[in-house]
Amino acid sequence: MRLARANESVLVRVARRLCGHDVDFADDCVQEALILAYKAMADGKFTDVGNFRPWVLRIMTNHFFRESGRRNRFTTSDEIESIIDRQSAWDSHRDIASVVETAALRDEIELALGELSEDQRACVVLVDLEEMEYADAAQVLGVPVGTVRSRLNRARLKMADVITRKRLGELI
Amino acid sequence: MKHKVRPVINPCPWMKGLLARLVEGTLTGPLGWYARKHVDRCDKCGPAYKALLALRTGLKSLGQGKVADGLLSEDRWKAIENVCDHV
Ligand SMILES: [Zn+2]
Repeated sequence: MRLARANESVLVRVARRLCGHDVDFADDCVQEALILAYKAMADGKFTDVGNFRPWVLRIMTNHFFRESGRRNRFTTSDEIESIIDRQSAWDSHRDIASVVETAALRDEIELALGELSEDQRACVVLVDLEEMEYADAAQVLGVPVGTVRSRLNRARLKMADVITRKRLGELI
Repeated sequence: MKHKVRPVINPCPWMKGLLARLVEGTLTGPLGWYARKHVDRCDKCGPAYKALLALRTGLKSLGQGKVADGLLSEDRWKAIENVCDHV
């Protein structure tokens, strides 16, 4: 339980950002991930304590993907189990852009995050907000580094577009 | 069906990867020189570059603020411990 408590805040933070304002869903994801992780450790399926954080983050994010209903990669509990078992850690616009202020941007960023797909949002949360290296985020998400990079590029362009569009709308 | 909106931020397709690296500050050498020249002259990539830079600043600020910080309720911890006690 010590490891679980030590990783509580990062798990909750990432989960709540992935789930937007649905705090209950986010906390469900964390709770389920910690239970699955504890069971795996009790069964001796995971012993690499030094890699606990990326491993439990991966369990949590996959639980999120599965439960959010997109079912784009992981569709069954067996697949989450298999992660546990493997133990492999794991223009005119010119003026608008120039008047963007950080404080206002924060609210707009929260809004734009909600416009992303779950896959894209996960990359932004892990790399841009949690400041993980691409390789670490790839490990958590179970995808190649190149996939993280391309999802992130698309996500940032989409977010920049949502924010600029909102600003244009406000100014027109 | 969702209506497809034409993006406002719409850089030249071949510049998307270069812009990402330029904003991250990891694009150097001749490619970096080419990308900066292009951004200075292109009506699509210039605004995209500025918007991405502003976004990066905002994301950094949001990340450092850790506004979404929180902890699980004690009820949830009890539920976790109950399950784990029976493993
Ligand atoms: Zn261009």
